[in-house]
Amino acid sequence: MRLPIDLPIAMSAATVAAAPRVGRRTDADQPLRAAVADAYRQHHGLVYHLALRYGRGRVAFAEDVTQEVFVQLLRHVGVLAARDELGGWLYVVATRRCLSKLRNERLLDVLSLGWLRRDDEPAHDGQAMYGAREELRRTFDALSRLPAKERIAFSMYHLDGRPQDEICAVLGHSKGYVSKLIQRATDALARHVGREVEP
Amino acid sequence: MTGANDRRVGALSPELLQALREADAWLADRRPACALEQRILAAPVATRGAPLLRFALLAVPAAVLAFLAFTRSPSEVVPLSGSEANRVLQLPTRAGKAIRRSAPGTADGSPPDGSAVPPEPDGSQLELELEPELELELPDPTPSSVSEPTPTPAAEPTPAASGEPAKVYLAPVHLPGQETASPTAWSTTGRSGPTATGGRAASNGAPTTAHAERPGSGPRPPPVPRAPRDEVDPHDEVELHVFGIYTAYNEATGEEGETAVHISRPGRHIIVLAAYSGTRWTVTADEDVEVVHVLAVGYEPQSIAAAPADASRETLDAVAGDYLGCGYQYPHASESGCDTAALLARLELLLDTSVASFHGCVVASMFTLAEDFAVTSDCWDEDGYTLTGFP
Repeated sequence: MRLPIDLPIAMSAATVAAAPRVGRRTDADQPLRAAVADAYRQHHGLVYHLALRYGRGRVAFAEDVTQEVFVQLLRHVGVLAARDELGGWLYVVATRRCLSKLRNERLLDVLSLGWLRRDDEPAHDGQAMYGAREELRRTFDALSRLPAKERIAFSMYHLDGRPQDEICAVLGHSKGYVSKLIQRATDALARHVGREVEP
Repeated sequence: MTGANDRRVGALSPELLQALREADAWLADRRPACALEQRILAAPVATRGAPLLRFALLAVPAAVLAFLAFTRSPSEVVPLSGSEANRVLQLPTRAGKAIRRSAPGTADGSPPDGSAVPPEPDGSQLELELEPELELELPDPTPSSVSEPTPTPAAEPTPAASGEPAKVYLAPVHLPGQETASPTAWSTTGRSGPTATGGRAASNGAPTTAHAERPGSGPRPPPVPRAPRDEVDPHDEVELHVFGIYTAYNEATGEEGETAVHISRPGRHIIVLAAYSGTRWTVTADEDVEVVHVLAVGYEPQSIAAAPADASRETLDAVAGDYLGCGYQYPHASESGCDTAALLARLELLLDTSVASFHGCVVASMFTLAEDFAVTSDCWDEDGYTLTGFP
């Protein structure tokens, strides 16, 4: 399945930085909120899907990311004005938000402060995969075991079909490093699946 | 699927890629809870509460702890008078407890009521000042006199070298109303002059203590006896007698390490037994004599084999970490290795009373204190070492 994104991500990323911001909630925000509500109904599947994929299938993680991404959209009315770019902007923001949260989780785990994470429910990895076939669950579990950057680069390249240039723009790395990330992830998945196939 | 300028990466097996896409499609069909939309649209634009709450969880306790650490109430510090502070700084804890136990008027063993230093007649406190200028000297090898069985202290470990607590300060005592040009009278000096209890025999003239030559102090005035006080200090009723040796040896029997002290002087007494070498002390007394406390001090371990029944016992030595010093000559001879004056000063501070008598000898195994302060001893009186002391 291809994600419904047809816009160049690099351009959307530039729009993120240039978009004007709004202040606190007022009555004048009502049109803005209505526009965000439309954007949510149209694109929440995209953001939630990315968050589930990169967040190892955790529902709480995905909902947090979705909320944070659309709340950020409230502050960037310029993106709403350019509706054609909205999907690409959400894709970039959601991916970066996932990477940021995964980094914070890793840091908290290293510092043994994992209990400070605000999870509304137990962080069951692969929770969103309940009900899927066992084969799919094992495959997704293998993908979730990859490091965050490798997981994202691999998914953008192989699952979303994004060119390496766009992956570089999202992750902020060189093309050589991105290709190395993809290669590492490919090798790791092949090894993992190979081990599971062996008796 | 990929860009034209992409770098080559290893191919993924079609089966694995297909499985991954199917799993991803499964995720794509998931939908968030309906309440999520309402939560997003109802939230203020700047929803930063969660990070602030998490920060507060760490910052608030840290701030409280820092506040408590840096704002301790001064009322928690118990103010001490000058003399009390000096005593706390100077006196070994064990010794302090022992003295409190032995204080007269406290039959139940509780410390005497009131200040440790009773007020002077003019209402002022006996003021003690510390001067860290005293350096402990180790006993010298007995220079030329005793060959046997006097040990060779030069081979002994020195308190300083062995890390023993050698920081003992000599305290000059300010006595209000003292008849001297200098307001400071060293409590350990002036032993050569006449005193209220009679003259003292100074065998070699002026005192030669390490602190006798204070710059500008001139000749020391005689010690001033304590003035009568409004309230009777129990310590005034007790006489402090000090007996000092370097080592214990009975020339007649050849026994080493044991010394006997007998008190025949009526009254209440504190007996201090000082020796450099390890000595086993035996203290006896006549029937009309009350010995309230026996204190054995020295460098090597001291022990009290016997003492009158009512007397409390205490030992202070370098092994136990409480080295007050040693002394067996009076006036103190610098080549002796022991500082009698310093020892007496520390004892006066420790016991809060004046030394009534001191008698010492380099080698002895017996002392007897008569009613008139006369002391008999089997002192090794050869090679210039004799029984010395006061009064």
